[in-house]
Amino acid sequence: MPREHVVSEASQEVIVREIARCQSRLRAFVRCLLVRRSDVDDVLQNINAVLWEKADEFNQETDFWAWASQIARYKVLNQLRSYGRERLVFDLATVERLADVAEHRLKELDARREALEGCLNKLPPPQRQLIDLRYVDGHAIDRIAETVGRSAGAVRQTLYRIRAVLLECIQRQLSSEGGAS
Amino acid sequence: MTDRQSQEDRTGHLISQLVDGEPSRENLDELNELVLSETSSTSLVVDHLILDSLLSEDLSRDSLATLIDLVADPQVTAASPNSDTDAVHRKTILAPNGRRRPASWYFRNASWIVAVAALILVVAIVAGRTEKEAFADATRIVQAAVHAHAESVERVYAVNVERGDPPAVHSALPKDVRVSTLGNSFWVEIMSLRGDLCFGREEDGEIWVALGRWRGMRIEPDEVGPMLQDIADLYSLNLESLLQGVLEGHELERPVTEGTTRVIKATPKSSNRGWVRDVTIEVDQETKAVRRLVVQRLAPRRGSATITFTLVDARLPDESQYRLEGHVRESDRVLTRESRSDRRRVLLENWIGPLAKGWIVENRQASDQK
Repeated sequence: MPREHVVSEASQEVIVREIARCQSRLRAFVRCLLVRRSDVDDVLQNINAVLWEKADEFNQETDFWAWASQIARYKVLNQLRSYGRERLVFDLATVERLADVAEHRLKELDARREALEGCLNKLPPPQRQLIDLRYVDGHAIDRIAETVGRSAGAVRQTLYRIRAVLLECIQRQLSSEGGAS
Repeated sequence: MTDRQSQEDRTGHLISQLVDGEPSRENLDELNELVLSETSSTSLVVDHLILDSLLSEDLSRDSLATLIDLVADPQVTAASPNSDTDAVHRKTILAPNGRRRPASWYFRNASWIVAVAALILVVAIVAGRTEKEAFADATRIVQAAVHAHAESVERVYAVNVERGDPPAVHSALPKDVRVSTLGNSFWVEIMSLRGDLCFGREEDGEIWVALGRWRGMRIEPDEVGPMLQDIADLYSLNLESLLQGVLEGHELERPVTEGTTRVIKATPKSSNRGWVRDVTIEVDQETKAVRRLVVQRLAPRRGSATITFTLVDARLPDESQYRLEGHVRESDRVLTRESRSDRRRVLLENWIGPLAKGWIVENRQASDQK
């Protein structure tokens, strides 16, 4: 029972700070390993609980992200093993592969987030409107399709292309910053 | 079309199903194969999912609501705030009603917390010297609270509303609400499934609403529906005016000491016809801050309600938050009556659900002209 677990005060302070600092990364990490977006929060909650339970095991002289992402990976794998066959999930080997790449990519999440903001502002208005409908207004794809008078499949494809444009833009920015430094 | 193009299109289709759709078993089998066989596909899948997560978090301001449920540890949560300083300490971990702070918030404010704690400690020490004088009687305690509230410290209160029986207005009330106060100004934060909704009221009665950081709207006084008016009235906390009103229009009872607070009950004078009726004020002995305020409000045609404001946080103020522009990043993302009036209703309902039905009503003058 996580809430009954006694964690020393020093570890408590460090772990709260580190969990908070890495929360965006952990969320994105879990998102990369799960098929269903709606499962992310539940799994993340469990990971936070395990990190808390294991707080005393964390060596403060080491990298918290490396430690936390390993725990997150095993937690996700265990979770996937517990699901029945009817549940749509990635194969475990796929999860391992995705986790390897995601763990590395997410080290630069803050830089990506910063670059994203600039890239969003560069999108032409119709593309920005579609992104807004999806993420700001939170509409489902079917609703967006109705609004813009296109099929759901076409909307999905367009969103995919817009995200591809954003990824290229982010990559360019990261490369130029890397080159400048 | 070349084989390579066709393969890229297929990969794109599968990823779009994964991010925005419901992939079929066959889609998933294909994706599994792709990820295991091609490094570039693995990277592409990861990049799209990370971007999806960033967009969800940044644009819709996902509240990172799963954060630190584990921190609801009895050691941390059992202690009630004995002073502003305690409240500041608590805020680093848990918000009212167990609500979790976004991680980014925690870090943005970490250094401020220490600064505010230090500031409040100094205020407490200085104020402590005059404690006996200041608490000589109820009036002086309330005056001290008014004075303390004028300091440049933002105080945040969790709000709980209990309707009178029977309620005259049946607007559904949100459960998790906080009101931030600075001097006589306030703004309100309501947690919803889609993220935080913030609102404030201008002096002319116009209400502004911020839905995350990317959408805002202004609702003019004659467009404010009865339900929104009700909510705005209930959660408003112009604390200085309220305390001054109590001093002028209420009879104060002898203060009672409860732990580290002084509790003053106030009942309206017979001549008082205002809609603020019985008031209970709990003032912290050290900081003079109002730790809890229970206000019985009686509004014509809306029945009575008892509103409890409980201090949960004290921090250095961010004055920009008291204006819509402080919440919404770009001014052209603010909807008004002139710009896409109908969209405001749809957005509100989409953001917080049926609760927002009828918040905006058609302007009477405009409908008469039609």
